[in-house]
Amino acid sequence: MSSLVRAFVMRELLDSSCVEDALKEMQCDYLKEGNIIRIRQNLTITLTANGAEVSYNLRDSWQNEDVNSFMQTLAKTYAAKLEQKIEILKMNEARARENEVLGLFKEEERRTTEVRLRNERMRLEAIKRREEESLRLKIIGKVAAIKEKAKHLGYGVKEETREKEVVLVLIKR
Amino acid sequence: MGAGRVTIKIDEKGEIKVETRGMLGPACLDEVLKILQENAAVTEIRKTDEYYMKPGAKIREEAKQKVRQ
Repeated sequence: MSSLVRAFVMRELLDSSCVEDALKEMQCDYLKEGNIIRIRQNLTITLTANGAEVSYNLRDSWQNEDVNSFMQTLAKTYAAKLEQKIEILKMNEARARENEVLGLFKEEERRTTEVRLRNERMRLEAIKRREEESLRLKIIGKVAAIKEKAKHLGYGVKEETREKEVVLVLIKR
Repeated sequence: MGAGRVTIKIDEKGEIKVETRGMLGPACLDEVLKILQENAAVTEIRKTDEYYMKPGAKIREEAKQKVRQ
């Protein structure tokens, strides 16, 4: 083997509270100014007007391994946080139903709690689905772009789709 | 740069692993980075011995072995 390169395609981070939770989990110092999260001098995350969408302002080159590794860790931690929040909401919904059976909740109270928990869970599940679909489409686009670039550089391209991955074999003679 | 093979694996989470074989010298890495440019964010680059060999070095070694035989 001549060399090994690891890289990633950045997913969307649509829920700002999960972004902040992920940064806290990573013990990352950040400064929030309005809709801007400043992480380092060269790295800011901008929360857009609707308060949900996150964009990245990477002034460094795309090859900056340090910044990229940070972003990859952030994306992974974010995904885990999102999943965790959904699971906690499911558990709390079940607990609310249980408390009703035990007579600890009044009907009105139970309904309000359950509706609030269900709505929040459904909101996060919708975000998760949207992010997964967006990443899937992004990967399809990147695979096509990589194939195109490789052909342009004179490589023959073979593509194989496995269960959870796409394998491209580029051969130049 | 001579004949070479680049294997790129992209999983459903967007993680990419690229391996090159049979390509000597820094040119192979340059070419991989060109392919990835604008398509992915690089997090790790590991160079092996072949990276530091000049293109043609392997061919000369094979030639020496033939003479010995």
